[in-house]
Amino acid sequence: MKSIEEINEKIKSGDVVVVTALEMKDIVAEKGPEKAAKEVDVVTTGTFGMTTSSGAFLNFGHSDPQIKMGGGEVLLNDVPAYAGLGSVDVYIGVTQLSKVHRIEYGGAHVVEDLVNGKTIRLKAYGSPTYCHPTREIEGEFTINDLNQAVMVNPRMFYQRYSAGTNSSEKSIHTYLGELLPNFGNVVYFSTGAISPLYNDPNYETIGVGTRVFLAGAVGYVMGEGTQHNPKAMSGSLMVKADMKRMKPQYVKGASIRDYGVALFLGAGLPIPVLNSNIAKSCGIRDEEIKVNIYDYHIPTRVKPLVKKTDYKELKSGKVVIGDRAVKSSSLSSMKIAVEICRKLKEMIEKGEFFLTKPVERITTESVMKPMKLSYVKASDIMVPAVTCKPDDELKDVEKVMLEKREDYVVVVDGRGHLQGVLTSWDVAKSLVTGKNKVKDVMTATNIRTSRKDEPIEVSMRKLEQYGVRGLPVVDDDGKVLGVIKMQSAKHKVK
Amino acid sequence: MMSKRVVVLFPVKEYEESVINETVLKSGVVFNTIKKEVTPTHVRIMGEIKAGEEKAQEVMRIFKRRGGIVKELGMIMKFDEAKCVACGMCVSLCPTNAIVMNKDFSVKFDFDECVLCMNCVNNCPLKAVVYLGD
Repeated sequence: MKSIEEINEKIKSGDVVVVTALEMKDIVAEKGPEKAAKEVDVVTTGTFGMTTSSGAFLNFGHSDPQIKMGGGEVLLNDVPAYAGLGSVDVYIGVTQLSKVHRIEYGGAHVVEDLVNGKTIRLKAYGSPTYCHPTREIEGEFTINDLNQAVMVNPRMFYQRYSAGTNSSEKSIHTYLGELLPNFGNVVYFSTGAISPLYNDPNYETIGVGTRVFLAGAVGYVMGEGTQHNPKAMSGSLMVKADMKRMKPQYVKGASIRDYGVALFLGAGLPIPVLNSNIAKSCGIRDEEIKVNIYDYHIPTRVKPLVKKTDYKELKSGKVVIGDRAVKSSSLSSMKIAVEICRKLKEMIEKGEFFLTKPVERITTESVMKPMKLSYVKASDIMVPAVTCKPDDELKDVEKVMLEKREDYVVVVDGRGHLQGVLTSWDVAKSLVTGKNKVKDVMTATNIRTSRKDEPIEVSMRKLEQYGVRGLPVVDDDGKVLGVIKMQSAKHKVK
Repeated sequence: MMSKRVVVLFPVKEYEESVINETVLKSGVVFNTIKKEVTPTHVRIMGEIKAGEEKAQEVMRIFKRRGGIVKELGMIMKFDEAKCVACGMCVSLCPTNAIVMNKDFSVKFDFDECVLCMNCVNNCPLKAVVYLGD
């Protein structure tokens, strides 16, 4: 229907019709995608949120006599930068912590200070050679002293995030910030329906070479980003931009308490409305984007699902969990994201920002795999359980415990299913209470268990957290397979 | 109902258990104690004066005469809007309605709803809200 060249002609002549993603939702709802595609040329999308896969390549120019930082060590305001590059090139990653101030200051703050034009302290230990004899240098520089300062973000515009909450009785600190006990709050990421990749989920217009707005500078899409998983609506893009042209209000270093450092970064992406399909995609609303809320109290990669919700409920500030309305808030700023949509719209209308035709498409096929490594599972560590039945006489069980020198007995029914646990402490109590059946003495409620494929670190944490002597290992039906005990676990895990 | 939240710090020597009740009787204004903390040197009371500005000032004067150091919450908590990026992290951490997100997605603080739980201060990634101390 329309081509990018035609839209660029319109930008040149000043006839282009640009709307923000927020405005486009209403246009598509009201007029339908056909008409919207005729009327609108460009939709501006935006995001402002925490990025961790982000950083910048810096080139210092040569010292006299020369130093070979490559292979050496480089500190920027006491934050280590990656120096495994050429003589005077480094990459400063945003999550790197200061050697002195730890999470109060990190790579993200170095990037922020650079964009603000502040002076940065450089300390470098070289790897000396005949032509690079300098061993060590110290100096100060600002972004203007650098030959290049190029931000390269391996994972930008990340599409899908899950939300987090906490079922335990203690506060936990995660990359989502503090999660209060007993489902005290829900924290989520992303600007939802105005976030770029939801508006072009099939990558019809976005590709290698797409011009984007990165923190006030003009940037480009280099290709698919890390963890790009478009089939799961979880795409990402790798982008770059000249940091010397960035604006401070879009680049902010952040310290997440008891977690680490990250960079708040603002970016925008223009979507040319070439046909009604694209217009339809741009009409996506918050209620159409599903988000899973997971229980972050469980430290495994696959966390228990608490609720399936959508951005409409999350953005309302209240999420219903059980019979309670729990406060929800985000770590992405709608305020600045909307500001970016408007700013980009203005730039296009003024003829300061032209669209580009991708030179290559982004794959819609790749999937994300978990890390491949060998880990010790609960089933590798467990020992056969000493078992008894609820109706057994305590005296008989005590005899077995003595013979086997065992202080932890698992109580099972006829089919081997978990009924309770009996410890030497329970037996000791029976001396006072005078009870003589296992079922009257055993612990039968709130028994902590372990799954057979559970990483042993998780089982260890349960043992410590709940102060229990052992964990029965059960299968999905509750059948007891064995027992994890602190002593044997400690022995196997260094 | 208008209300103003304050922290009153009494040196242990000056403090009498009845000071709050006496102040309420004398001024005719309700004072809700929200938190009370006793340290080796001071008794620290945080509460809410249920009155308009003029009456609230009177209550604060009485506390001062009884040896208290009175500070309004708006003076000991500081929100720096210029630093805030309106990420909203603090909004769901706030146990009261002291922090809300406006329609335009900016974050608004109302320290007359604050209970000094410090969740926002301890968690703000940009340190845009700080506790200045009593």
